[in-house]
Amino acid sequence: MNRCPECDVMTVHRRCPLCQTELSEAQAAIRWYPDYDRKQQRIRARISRLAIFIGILAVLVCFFINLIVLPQFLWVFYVAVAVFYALVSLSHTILSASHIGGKITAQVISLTIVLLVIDAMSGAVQWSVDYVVPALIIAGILVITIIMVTVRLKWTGYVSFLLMMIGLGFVPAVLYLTGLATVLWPSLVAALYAVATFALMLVFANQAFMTQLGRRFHL
Amino acid sequence: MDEWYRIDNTGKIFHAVSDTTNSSVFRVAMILKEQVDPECLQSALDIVAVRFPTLTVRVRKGLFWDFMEHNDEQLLVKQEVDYPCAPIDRKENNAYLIRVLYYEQRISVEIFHSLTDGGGAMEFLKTLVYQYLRLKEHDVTADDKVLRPEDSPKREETEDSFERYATSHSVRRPEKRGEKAYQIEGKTLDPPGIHVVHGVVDASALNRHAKSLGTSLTGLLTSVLIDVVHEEKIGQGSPEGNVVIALPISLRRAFPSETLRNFFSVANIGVPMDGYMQFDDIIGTVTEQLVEKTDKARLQQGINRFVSLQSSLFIRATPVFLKYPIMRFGFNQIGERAKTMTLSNLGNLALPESMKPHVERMEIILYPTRKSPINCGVGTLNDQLTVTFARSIEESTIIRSFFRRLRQMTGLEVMVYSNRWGEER
Repeated sequence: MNRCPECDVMTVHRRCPLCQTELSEAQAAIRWYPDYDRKQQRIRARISRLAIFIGILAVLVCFFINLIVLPQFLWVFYVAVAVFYALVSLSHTILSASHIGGKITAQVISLTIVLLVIDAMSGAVQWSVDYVVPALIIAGILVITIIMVTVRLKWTGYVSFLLMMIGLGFVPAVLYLTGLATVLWPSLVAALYAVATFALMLVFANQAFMTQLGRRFHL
Repeated sequence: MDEWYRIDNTGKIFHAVSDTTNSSVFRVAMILKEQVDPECLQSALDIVAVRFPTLTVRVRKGLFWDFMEHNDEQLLVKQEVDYPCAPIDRKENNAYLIRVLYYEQRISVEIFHSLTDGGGAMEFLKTLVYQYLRLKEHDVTADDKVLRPEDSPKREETEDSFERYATSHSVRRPEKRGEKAYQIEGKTLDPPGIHVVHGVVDASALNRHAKSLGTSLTGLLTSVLIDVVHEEKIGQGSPEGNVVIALPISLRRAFPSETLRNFFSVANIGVPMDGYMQFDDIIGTVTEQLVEKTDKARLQQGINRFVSLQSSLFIRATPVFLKYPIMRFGFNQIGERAKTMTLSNLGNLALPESMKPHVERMEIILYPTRKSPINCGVGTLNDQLTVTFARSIEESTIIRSFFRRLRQMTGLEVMVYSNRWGEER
C-alpha cells in the first residue's frame, strides 16, 4: 500500500488516483478493474462520427462540383439521399443491435424517403407514390409476417413492428385521398393487405394476439 | 410463464431519458474475500433469477407506454471488461436490462433504472451472493435479512407502491420549477466512458464524527461536497450561486413496502453560497433541510403529485413518440437543471452475521449524466463505508478536494482506488 504525500490517502496503485503523483515503481498486487483497451474504445467511439463526417463531406464536395459543372441540374440531391440511405443502413441496419423488426421498418421508411426524393428530382412522374411505395410497404408487412411465422415462440417480439407496418399500409391510401397519388389500385391493395394481415393475426393467433394488443395499447 | 408488468411511475422517466450520455444504469457490488468462481456464480444466478421476476424481464414497445414482459432466455454472468454502468446492449445481453458481472473478488449487478432502485437492486445482490456462498458450501443463513431464493415471489414485491400510497390523484399543480443550480462542466473523457474512484473509510468513526458536528453521515458527506464544489466555484471566480446536491430518498422507511421496483423520491439540498459561508453554517443548513425534506407529509405530497401527473388521461393517451421527447425536456429543464450533483447513500447494509466474514465491503456506482457529469454513490458494509465518484469528464478537482478534506477534517485513513478510465498508463 502506498501513501500519497500530496493527498494524504492510501492507495494500492503506483500512481495516486486523485492527483496522479508517481508513488512507486511496483505494479499493484491487487487488481480492482480490468485493463481497458483504449485504442479499441476510441475506434468504437469514433466510427459512427467518422461515417457521418465522410457522408457530409462527400455531399459537400459533390455540391460544389455540381455547381461548377452543371448548375442547371442539381444532381447532388441524388447523392445526398444515397448518402442518407447508406448512413441509415450502416448505423442502424448493419452496426446497431436493434431488433430485426425495427431494422426492417427503418429500411422501409428510409427507402420510401429515398424513392420520393428521386421521383421528385426526376420530374415528379409519381411512380414512387403511385406504385413503388405501396409495393415496398406490402413487402415490409410480408417479410415481418414470414419472420413471425418462422421464429414461432419469439413471434411476440415482432408485434409492435407489424402493427407499425400495418399502420404504414394506410399511408398510400391517404396519399391517394389527398391527391398526392393518382393511381388507386396499388394504394387500395396496400390498405387491404394491411387489413388482411391484421385479420389473419386475429383469426390464427386470437387469444395471444389480443393479449399482445392489450399490452401494447395499455394506457 | 407469460407475466407482464407496467413500467412503474419512476421507471417511465428513466425509460424516456436514457441515451448514450445518460445510460440510466447503476451498479451495486460486493467485494468478497475470495476470487469469484464464474461457474458457481452462473449456477447461483440461474436459481436467483426466478425469484426476482420483475428484474428478469425484457422491454417491449407499446403505443402509449412501453412495458415489461417475462424473458425466457438465460441471464448469463460475464467477466467485467467494460467501464462500469456502460449502456446495456440488449442484443448482447439476451434482451435483459440487468447484467451480472464478476472480476477478481467482485460480484457486480448493473441495472437499468426503469426496473428498480438501489433498494431493489441490493436485495437482488444480497440473494445472489447468499446463494453463491451456499453453492460454495459456506455455512450461511438468511436470518430474515436476505430474500431466500427458494421462496416464491410475493405479490407485494411486484407492486407499484406509488399507486398504493397515493392518497390523491388530483394534484394538478406541478412542482414549482426550482432555481437553477450551479452545474459542473468539463471536457468529455476520451474515449467517452466513466471514470470511477472509490474511497474507503471507517464507517463508525465517520458516523461518530458526523454526530459530534450535530448531523448525520449523509448530512456530513453532503456538506463536504457542497463546500468543495463551492471552493471550485471560487477558483473559477464566481463565488455566488446555488450548490444543490440531489439525495435520492427511499420511501420504504416512511411508507412500509416490500416492493422490489422503484420507490424513491429525491430531496434537493441546496445552499446559496456567497463566498463567506463557513462550514458550520453549511452543516446547519444541510441538516435542517434534510429533516424538512424527508418529513413524511412532504414525501406524501411528492407521491401524490407524481402519481396524479401520470394519471392524467391527456398524458396517458399521448403516444410515446410524442411523450418521451416532452419527458426528456422536462427532465433536463426541471430535474437536471435544479441540481449540481447526485449523492445516493444506500446506508448500512443489513447482512446476516454468517455472511459477513465472506464479504469485504460494497460499492455503489451512480451513472453520470450530461448536466450532472460527476455523481456520488455511498454504501456501508462490514463497518467500511465506500464513497464512489463516477465522472464522465476529465476534470477531477472536486473529487480530489473531497477526499483530502475528509482526511483533514476527520483524521481518518482513506484508502482510494480507481478504474483509471481515460488515464494514460
